[in-house]
Amino acid sequence: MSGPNVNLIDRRHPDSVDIELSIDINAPAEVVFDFLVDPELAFRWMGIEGDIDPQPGGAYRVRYSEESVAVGQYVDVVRPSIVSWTWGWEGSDEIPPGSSLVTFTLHEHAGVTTVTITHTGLPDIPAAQAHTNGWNYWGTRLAVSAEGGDPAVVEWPEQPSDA
Amino acid sequence: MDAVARALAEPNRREILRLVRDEERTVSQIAEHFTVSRPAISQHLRVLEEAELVTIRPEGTRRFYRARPDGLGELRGWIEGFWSQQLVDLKREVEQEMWRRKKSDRKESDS
Repeated sequence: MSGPNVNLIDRRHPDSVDIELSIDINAPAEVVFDFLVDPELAFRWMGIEGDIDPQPGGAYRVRYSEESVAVGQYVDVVRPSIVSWTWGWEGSDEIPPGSSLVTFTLHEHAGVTTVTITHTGLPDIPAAQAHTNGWNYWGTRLAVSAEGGDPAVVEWPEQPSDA
Repeated sequence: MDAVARALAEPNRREILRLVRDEERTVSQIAEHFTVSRPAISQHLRVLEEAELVTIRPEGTRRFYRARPDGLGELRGWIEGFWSQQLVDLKREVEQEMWRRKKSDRKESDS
């Protein structure tokens, strides 16, 4: 069997941190969809182990390493085109469980299925002041750590005025 | 895909970055956390350095590695690397399964 023909399209949305990636798979959409919703198939490629209940409102929990567990809840499950779930890392302040949205979209043409992942709702660079504080806090903690300081002394910033 | 996403598509490299995020470490100290060989760790660190994800502070004969703090850039690159690896793995497993099914279909029709 010859190697797969990998074609990764990386489209960045300039004003946010939304991410979109695509790949073509030589299989019908029905089969690819099974690999998203059937645990026996899903855990061949997704993480090390976990528990998934792929129906709207069902739980999503996947271990990726000793310290990394992704947690969320299914939103849309539409055979054979769409699976989406909320997503975050257990124990993470930056991307807590259920804080962002992952959507897999499947589009089949002539036996080849294009799988597109979008990941939206990730922590935003200061665009709206309302969201700035969380991001600047994290960015500042990283900078303080890099300079050898104690990130724990970084205080949560005061709310900006409506000037 | 840029160098950052490529660098972060590899799980060991993401783990190395996590190890040196809050404190600097030498290659030996990093290698202790992995089963892969020290030369493999060195190679991973070279890739991370080329992608400008780590800084190096030499001290005597030792070199200390530290994650370069870059807020959003690092986060975006990490997420892209993570999902691009997932897509490659999904493709591989689906196509292997397709091949297996075709092979067993052929066997059945031959018997």
